[in-house]
Amino acid sequence: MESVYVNNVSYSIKDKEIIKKIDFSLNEGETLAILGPNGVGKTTLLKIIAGLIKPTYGNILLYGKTPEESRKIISYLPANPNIDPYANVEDILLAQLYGNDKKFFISKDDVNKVRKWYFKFFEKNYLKTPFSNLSSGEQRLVLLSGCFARDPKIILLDEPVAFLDITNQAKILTFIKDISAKMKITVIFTMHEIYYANVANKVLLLKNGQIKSYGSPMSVLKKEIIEDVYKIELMELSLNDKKMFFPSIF
Amino acid sequence: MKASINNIITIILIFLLPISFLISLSIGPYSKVGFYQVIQTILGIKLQSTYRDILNYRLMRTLASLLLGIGLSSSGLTLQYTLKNPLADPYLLGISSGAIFGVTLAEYFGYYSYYQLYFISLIGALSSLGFILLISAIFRSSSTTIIIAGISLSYLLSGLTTIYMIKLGPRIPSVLFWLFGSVSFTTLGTLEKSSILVLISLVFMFYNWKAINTLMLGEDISRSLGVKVSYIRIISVVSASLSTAALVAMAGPVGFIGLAAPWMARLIVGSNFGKALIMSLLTGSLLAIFSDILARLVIYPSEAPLTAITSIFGAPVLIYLALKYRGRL
Repeated sequence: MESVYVNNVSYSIKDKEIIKKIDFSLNEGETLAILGPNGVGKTTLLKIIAGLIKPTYGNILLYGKTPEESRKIISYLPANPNIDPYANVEDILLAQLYGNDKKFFISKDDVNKVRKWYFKFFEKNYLKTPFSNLSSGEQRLVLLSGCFARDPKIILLDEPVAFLDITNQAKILTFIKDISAKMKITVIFTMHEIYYANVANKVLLLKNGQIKSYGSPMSVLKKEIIEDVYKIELMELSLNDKKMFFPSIF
Repeated sequence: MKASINNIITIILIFLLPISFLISLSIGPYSKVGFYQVIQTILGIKLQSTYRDILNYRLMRTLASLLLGIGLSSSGLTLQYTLKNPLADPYLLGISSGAIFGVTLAEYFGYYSYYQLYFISLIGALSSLGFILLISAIFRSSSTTIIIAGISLSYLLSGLTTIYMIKLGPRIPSVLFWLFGSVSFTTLGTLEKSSILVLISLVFMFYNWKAINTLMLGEDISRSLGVKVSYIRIISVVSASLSTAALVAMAGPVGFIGLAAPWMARLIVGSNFGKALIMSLLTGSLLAIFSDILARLVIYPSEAPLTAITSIFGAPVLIYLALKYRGRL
């Protein structure tokens, strides 16, 4: 079943084209990694899918509906959300349920749901701790558990593993991979760590706002293609038919 | 454990509210009317009419304090959330400066009754709000732009006010008295009018509480959840300012309650906007009523301005709370 359909989407500010003619579709439960250099339009593309920006041309369908009509089935996490540092963890998680919770009151069900997801990510109870007292890894995990507690069908994550140590990176990526397959959630995320794109079912590589390459990690993650996009000489390492690339600085 | 301590604090505060009413009714320059007469009235025993008038007057000013506390603290809290600024208070956007300028200008051009001044200051305050709305509508402003516009407007109006105040010469005290803020000159008529505006604002705040609550997640997440952020921000600024305008017109620009009471509430119940809004009604009204009681006591038998009391006694309470809960800040 097709969950995400991006049809010929372009976006420009004044005369500058940020995103050009993006076309792709995903099936239910698939994961997509969007790669590309800084400023290439990854975040813009994600915001367009989340319905925060209207494309200048083209359209998006999520389960056949526009992003604006799909608020209840989307969870979106920006790279730098401006979270109130004084807010405590549980209040943040409950706020993330907006639209899928009881309309006016805080229900016991909503509190239980939020706690259930929180404890899938955490052993310690930080529910009453202010957000700013947590490490950046913990902060990301809190917001991520809130994304899942919303019962979404589509999760959009902007650089979910940026600024995190490898333990937290692995934790988040494993979770995304397992949950999306098990619960049939479609996950789209952007990142700079090219080798992690192997966890996704599909990879979309952007160059100057256009699709350079799209397909399975095997078909997209090739030395020539990556070198062309990032304009840098790379070393290639292969391990169990997964490829990794590093700039030749060593 | 922590939660239960907060429950105890909440219960104590709820009990303090009727107690504050009793004390407020019992205290004033007419010492013949005291606690004993209040109890007699409650029990249905008829007092002589002069005593009744005194009690009615005290009841009226207690209700005015209650309204002041409810309105200023809910407005302050709402602005703190919608403008994402923990130090926002109801006067941040120049609402009181508009009212003060209006009153000063009116005093300069002629003599007006308190009732006329009520409407003049309301018009002044609402003009400030109009200006802020215009700025945010034309430039589709962020919360920071709104705050900068508000603060600049405050300075502009204070500058003009100072000049007209100097021109007032010997008549300065008539404005100063109003400027310090007090519920002593409130009348039943202005109390009624202001209550309606404050209640309307509260309805908007409560009706939209879940949307306002999501603003703690930042604008992007909030919008992705389906909240119309610009609309909610405008609704919140309008409600908070309407309420504030009504209260400034009724009792002058009483300071500090709108900053301190929301924080007291947040420190007790946490960061959920709905819970903090309910709690702020309690902390705000207690702060206002006890401040008015102290205003009548500190230089007995004359009366101190309310802002002096809210600041002198509110500041240490807020500092104490901030230190006690510093782990949470």
